[in-house]
Amino acid sequence: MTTGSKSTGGGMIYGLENIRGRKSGSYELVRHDIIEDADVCVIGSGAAGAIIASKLAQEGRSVVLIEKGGYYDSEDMNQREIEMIPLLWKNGGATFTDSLRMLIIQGQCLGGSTVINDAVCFRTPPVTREQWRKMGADIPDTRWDGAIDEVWKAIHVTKVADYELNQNNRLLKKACEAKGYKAGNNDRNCVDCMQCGMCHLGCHYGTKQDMLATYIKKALATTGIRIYCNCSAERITYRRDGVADGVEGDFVDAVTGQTKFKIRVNARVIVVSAGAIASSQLLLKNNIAPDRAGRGLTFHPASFLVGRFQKPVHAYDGIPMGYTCHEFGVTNGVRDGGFLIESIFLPILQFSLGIPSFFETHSLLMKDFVHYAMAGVMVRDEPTGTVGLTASGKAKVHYEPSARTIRDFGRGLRVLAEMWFDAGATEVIGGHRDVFRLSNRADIDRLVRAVEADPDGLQIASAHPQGGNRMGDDPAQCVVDSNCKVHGFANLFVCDASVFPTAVGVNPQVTVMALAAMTADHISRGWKATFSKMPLAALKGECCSLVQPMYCSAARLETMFNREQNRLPLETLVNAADAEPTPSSWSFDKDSLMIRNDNHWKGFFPTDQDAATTAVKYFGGFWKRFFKKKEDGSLAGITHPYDAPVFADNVPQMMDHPRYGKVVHLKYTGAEFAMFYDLLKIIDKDTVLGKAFVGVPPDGGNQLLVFCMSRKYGVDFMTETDHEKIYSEHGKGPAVEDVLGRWVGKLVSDSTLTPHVQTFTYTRDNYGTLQMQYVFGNLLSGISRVSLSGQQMYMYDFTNWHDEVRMATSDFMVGKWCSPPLQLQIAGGNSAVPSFFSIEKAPEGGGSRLCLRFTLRRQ
Amino acid sequence: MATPSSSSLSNIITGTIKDAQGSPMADLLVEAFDSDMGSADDFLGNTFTDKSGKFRIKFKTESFKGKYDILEREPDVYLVISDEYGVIKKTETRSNARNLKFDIKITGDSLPFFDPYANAAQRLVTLFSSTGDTIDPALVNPAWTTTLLMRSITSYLHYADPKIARIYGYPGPQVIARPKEFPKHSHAIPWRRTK
Repeated sequence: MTTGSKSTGGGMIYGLENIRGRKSGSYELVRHDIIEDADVCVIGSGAAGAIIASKLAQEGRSVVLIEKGGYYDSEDMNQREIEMIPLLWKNGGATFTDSLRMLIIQGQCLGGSTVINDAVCFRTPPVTREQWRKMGADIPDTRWDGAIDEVWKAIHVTKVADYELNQNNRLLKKACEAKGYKAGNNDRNCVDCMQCGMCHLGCHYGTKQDMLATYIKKALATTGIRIYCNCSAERITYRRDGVADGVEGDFVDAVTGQTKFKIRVNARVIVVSAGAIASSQLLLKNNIAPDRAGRGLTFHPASFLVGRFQKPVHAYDGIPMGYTCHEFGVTNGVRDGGFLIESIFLPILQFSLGIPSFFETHSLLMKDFVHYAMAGVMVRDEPTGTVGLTASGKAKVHYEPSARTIRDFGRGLRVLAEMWFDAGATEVIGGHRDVFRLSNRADIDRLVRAVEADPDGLQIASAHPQGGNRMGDDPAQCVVDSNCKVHGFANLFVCDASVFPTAVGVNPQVTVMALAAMTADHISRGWKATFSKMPLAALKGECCSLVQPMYCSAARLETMFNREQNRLPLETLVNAADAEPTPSSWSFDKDSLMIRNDNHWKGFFPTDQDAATTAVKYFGGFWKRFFKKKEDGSLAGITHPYDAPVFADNVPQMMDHPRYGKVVHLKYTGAEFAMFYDLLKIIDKDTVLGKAFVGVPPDGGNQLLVFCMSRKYGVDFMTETDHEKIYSEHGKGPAVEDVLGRWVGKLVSDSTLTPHVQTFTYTRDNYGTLQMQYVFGNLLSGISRVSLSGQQMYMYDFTNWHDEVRMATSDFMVGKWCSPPLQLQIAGGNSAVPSFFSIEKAPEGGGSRLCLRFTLRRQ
Repeated sequence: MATPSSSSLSNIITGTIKDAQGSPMADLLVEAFDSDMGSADDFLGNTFTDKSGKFRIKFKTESFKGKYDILEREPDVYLVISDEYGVIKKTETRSNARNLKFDIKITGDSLPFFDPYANAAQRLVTLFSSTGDTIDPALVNPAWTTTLLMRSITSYLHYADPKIARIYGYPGPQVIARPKEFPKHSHAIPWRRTK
């Protein structure tokens, strides 16, 4: 943990993957939860995030950069599609719109999409800049040009030389020249390109000037930047007055999908640069601009046509994207829509996935692989896409190309097909799923008619998702202002392609980088006066630490117990005089959602996910209570597992243990528990670490488990008693406006809460009546009828059980799902029914009822 | 080094712990155990390393030789070293020795290595599963989706393996499959260039 910035070197990449042969000194394995304090926390390391992080770090800020993907350097790129795509592409290349209609390709690795793109660079077209200015994105041309020139230089953009054009590009060039279209060689951020044609799989030769080779490399060499890979940002925490104070996330093992560790970053400034789609998803998940985020996405949908030539083209060999036809695009001044025709070629697996048909026909088409030339029609589409959240918090992308976009595709495919025939193609392949083989010019009309008559059959894919968090001055419509700062927040920024008000019209990486450079400069300029004065929170999130050991794994608890000293005297253990909650012994803090409970010490098990720990965690919860005996004032204790009618008497004594030093030895006095003993270390007045043994102390016997105990814990660890206290004393009946939105729920066991199991979404139906859609475990879903009384909210589903919910704070509710009154009486109270269930007196009539308790947090 | 077996005398383990760069590692917990076959290992002693990475653990013979341990003559010592986050190294066992000196180096190699290519298929499945409920079955065109699936299978079977792809005239990747394992591999492009 460092709060001050380092000025020279010391930048470090952290991650979960210890790859053999990596140059040591710049990469470290993450082995534990991370709590960081930083000036700036940037989420995402792509074209925007890397530049902002790097520039701010070079200005002297302490910067933490979080990246969901892994870190792979150029020597890791082995040009094998099946091995590189899962490493570098978001969702393994399988991001689709909700209808499976369009494939969306983005990078997910350190460096983001800049690692897997074709390195094509376009300056932001003047037409686009002007249109954006009219839409409220107030960036003057001088500012655009300054920023573009800066990144242009930093990523070493050069024009593709004529001799670097391969046969594929030359064929397109020939066809454009024959028609007299405005066209030209592309600019690329590549130095001494080896022309291997594998740009999509990461550059093995390190010649592509992606973020890894430029901004990230510089930041690592000259600043103290800390980059966390394999780390998925999940939460942005913020105060009600619009000050964001931190980011929380999970380190996820990409192979198994399991969360390994947690991270909490306390920062003065937070920048979301997770890319279009993911940035909107993160905002929505955190209830930031929920009415504006995720709207107006554009995709630059692209459809390609392949020309089959008599002579081999060997299009795979050489720079894939070297030449562009500007005639019909925004680069030629076209204001509404339009399209670019760009040369492109793909390695064989990606190519074959794009060729229509399957099995034998497909193989016959693929036989002529070396004879194909390929180019794509990339349409500047309208902002008709949306991103929403699914019940499990994933991003659901909906997109229907507008009528104008379809018309542009019709025109574009016609132009391109004619160009291929002009260049001498014997056949043209692709375009529409029903008409994908054109054997002569007459077939072009068939293709265009098919596109217009059945647009759903048009084959499109996108590598340029943009928009979703629109930039503009109007806080009612836009998510961010012209400086990429989120409206209504003092220190939260969103900067990536998601802020584009419309489609940019050209390959977007330089535009994204320029926006990032401007945003970094804006933060730097305002640092002294504004951002440095933002408060630095001291929160620990869900990270393991000595003051909140309930978030620790068994290995961490074991190490803590072995290393820490007992710090306080035995009497610290003594609980309040009341065994049941009273105002003096039990309290609930609404701001921090913390419970203080001095009736007993609540026990916590490690957070490990294995079956044994999970079982004991949900069904083996316990408390320990310590008191002074009335007769002689000596200390005594009781241990009680919530789910068994057991109250084990014990006596705590200080002991000098040969291995653990000074510890509290808890000796069980009852004959049935005499073979057990516990060792405790008192860390502070609210925290105790413990180990349970079977055998004879001090060094005899076997360790059964390691645990911790506390008198202070968050609502995610509440007991059923705590739940009832909050429900009855702090809960009130919500109004309709209070509950509208999405809530995620956890079930309450006495020991710990479950992960999210249900999602409740409250909406008004067409008649204005409040209704609730529930999803349980992503499987069972349905609609509940909702009725509000002043006391509580009732919800009725298809069973004869019903929910009763009360609101504790505006973002936190407690509820129970209860049975109708039971006929038979259950003796023994709560410990007679399994964890999660509790028994209480039914309010209506006599008898008792069974309830399943849960908590709801607003999402 | 005299090693009288009188139980009244202390036994000493000393040593230093350094990191990969050779700088001393302070504040590590060093615990010494006597490895016993067939029963729980005896705890001998523990300490923290000092600023120069040095540690010194004294223990009595009774620690490893109980009253009835007639087979145990000398301790078989191993050390467990942990930092504040967990165990970072467990040393090998040194048999039948009383006064021991350990020189320990903690390197990155003591942590398990990860092969980025080995689990490509499993990664892909994990990543696919994150697609989860983002697809709306009501909007999906079944015929089109089946075509897509069939094509994916065809493509995967035919072209995923570069060796098979060569049949189609595609020369495939130009670097070796595991570049880092052979750091001196060629960076030239062995393809027949078209120009």
